[in-house]
Amino acid sequence: MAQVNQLNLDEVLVPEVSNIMSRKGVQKTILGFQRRRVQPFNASTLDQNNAVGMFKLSGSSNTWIDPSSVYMHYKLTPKLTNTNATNQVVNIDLPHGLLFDSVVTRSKGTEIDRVSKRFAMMKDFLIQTSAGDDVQQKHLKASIGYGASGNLTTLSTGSISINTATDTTASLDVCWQHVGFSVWGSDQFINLNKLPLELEYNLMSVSDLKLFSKFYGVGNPTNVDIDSFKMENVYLSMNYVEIDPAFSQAFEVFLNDVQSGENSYYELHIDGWNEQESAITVATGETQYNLPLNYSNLKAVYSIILKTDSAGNGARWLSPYENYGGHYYLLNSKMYPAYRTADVTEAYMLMQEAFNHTNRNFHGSQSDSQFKDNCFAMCQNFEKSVGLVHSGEPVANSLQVYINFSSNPSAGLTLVSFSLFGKVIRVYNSGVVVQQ
Amino acid sequence: MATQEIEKIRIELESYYNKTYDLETDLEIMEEDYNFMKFVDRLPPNEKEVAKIAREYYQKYPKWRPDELLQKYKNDKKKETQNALRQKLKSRHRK
Repeated sequence: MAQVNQLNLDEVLVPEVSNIMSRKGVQKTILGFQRRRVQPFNASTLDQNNAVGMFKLSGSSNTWIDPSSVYMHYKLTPKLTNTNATNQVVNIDLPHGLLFDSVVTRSKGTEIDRVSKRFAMMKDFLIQTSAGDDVQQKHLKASIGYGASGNLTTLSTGSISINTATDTTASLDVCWQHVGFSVWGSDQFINLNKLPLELEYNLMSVSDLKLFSKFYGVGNPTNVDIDSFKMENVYLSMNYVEIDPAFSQAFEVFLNDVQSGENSYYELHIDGWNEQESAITVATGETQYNLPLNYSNLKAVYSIILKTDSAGNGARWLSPYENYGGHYYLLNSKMYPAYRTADVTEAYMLMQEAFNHTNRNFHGSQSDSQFKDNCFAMCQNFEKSVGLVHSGEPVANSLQVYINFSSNPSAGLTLVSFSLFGKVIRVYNSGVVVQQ
Repeated sequence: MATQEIEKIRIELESYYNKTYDLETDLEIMEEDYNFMKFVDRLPPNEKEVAKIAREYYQKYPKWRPDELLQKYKNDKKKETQNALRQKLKSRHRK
């Protein structure tokens, strides 16, 4: 009974004391939004001499970022040589993500995500697929700079049209939405006090860029070459969510108490990408390729048969059919699909499944032969729905893909497999733990 | 915004916060609550519920210090548990 009296006394005294002291003003609204920009701290212009852009993002406990609002801005100026006749315009297609060889994300000294050349590979693979607006394909396209809507035409960095001249430069203002990779792929707000970020953008070399860029137009694309490129006035812009500092303090006190000890952490869920490459064996029949992955939540995998077409400067990376005679993925000794696929239409179906294209005419924008010659892919979606929760499959070095060729494939092909998996970043006071 | 949409939001908010809104007088409160609901949606899973509770107490007692708010919450929880226990004992006694 004594305890109940004590409680009542608290209730009476505390507000009275608070009213007398009147320690804080009360904001009418708890939330506020504003847009800010962050410039690289090491260089504002990136080129072959300054090929790394470093960004640092930090803030107070009441500062949050909306990851879906993050854009990178820069003025892109490639220096080109065009030996076509006067006024023969050639366009160059350089999607946003293509210009970066890798992007590394760190927090409190721990690397939490790294994306590499797969940007360019995926771009090359997806550029010819039809425009889709499903989640996974959006994710793929966003990863390589095609934005969330999946519209290739309007969201490509550019087609820069150039007239004939040697050493021609043409500039384009670029705005690249960062929704598809690393922490920017999260649908949660990011607290910059709990998860301060350091981002490292590494430019692609000009020779690599030539492999992935595409020229087209009136002039002969093979008469165009990229000499160099630079990005000026580079910065990131994003929406900051500001919560009332007084409420932020209250929230922290509640958090520290309710989630005491081991449970006191800040958790961010993102998608991670892995890329594996292995040489394709020149042999007729079935060959096994190991995909050494170790993840608790593998959502999807797709493999392409990569071929570098080195004909002139119009060089492209292709993923041809190459006498393909069927495939299946083996995960934890279980076949996906349950039998060997040996039909191009069935490969379409698998791709639809992996990209959630159910009941759609996936190849509406390309013919069978285009699909077979340029962007043939083997896919498997491991995501399953349990109630409202979507999760993938655990994989502990137990994923293989078996590919059958009806006759020998060409020499020099590479099997490139991209895997999409769930990643949990737990931030404790003492450091960051990445679970994947 | 169309009336239908506002009505839809009102229903969503009423079920989310477990309270009622008057469309004539509470539009500003609805806007604030709606924004906060969207904010909570995008918090880490382990922080969602805590944010709702913290805001509820922050708004109820706007001039209190954070530690006082927390103490009040704890006291309320204790009371709630005691009441539940009493109810349980009463119902057992009736049987």
